[in-house]
Amino acid sequence: MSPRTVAVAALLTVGVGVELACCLGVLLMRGVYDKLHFTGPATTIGSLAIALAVIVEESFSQAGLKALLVFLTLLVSNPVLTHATARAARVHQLGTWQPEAGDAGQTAAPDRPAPGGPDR
Amino acid sequence: MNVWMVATIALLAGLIPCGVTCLRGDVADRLVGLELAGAVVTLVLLLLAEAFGRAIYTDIALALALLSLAGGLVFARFLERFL
Repeated sequence: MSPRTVAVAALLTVGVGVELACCLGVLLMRGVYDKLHFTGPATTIGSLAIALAVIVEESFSQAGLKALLVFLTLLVSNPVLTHATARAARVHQLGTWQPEAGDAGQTAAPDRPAPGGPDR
Repeated sequence: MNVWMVATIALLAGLIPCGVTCLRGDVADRLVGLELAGAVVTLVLLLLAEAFGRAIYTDIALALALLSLAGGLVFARFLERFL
């Protein structure tokens, strides 16, 4: 076995293991906010390991560069999706995304509307 | 059956928890399951392109990565506005 084969196998093991752990975490956690945490490692550590495995195998050929591009796309899209989903879940539960009087860090109900106002 | 195909089959098993998440719980929980399934299938397509030795198949993974972002945003907006 060449060092390249060993490196590819190790990176694939790490990547697939992280992905499976994240899938189990999403299944087992309660509530949307807890579940959302587990999409993070799946799109950073897991996809980085798998993209690196492709790059180690192919070096920076067409397949390697496209694997890097897939990884970058997942890396950028996950925070956007997480933010949008968490905001949608909060609006779905409370009717608004803005903090309320009883929330942590809030002293009293504001006299004036928040800057920008509601966007709905 | 090379190491890429083995990794693909192992990764496909991760779709089962995502599917179960999509089938139960609150509607926002199901959306999270769908988004993670999109990321997992993107990586499955990336591994399949390598397993078949066709670099051009990687384009499918790239297209799915971009479309799952758009789809997730649309679903989140729909959940926020209309449900």
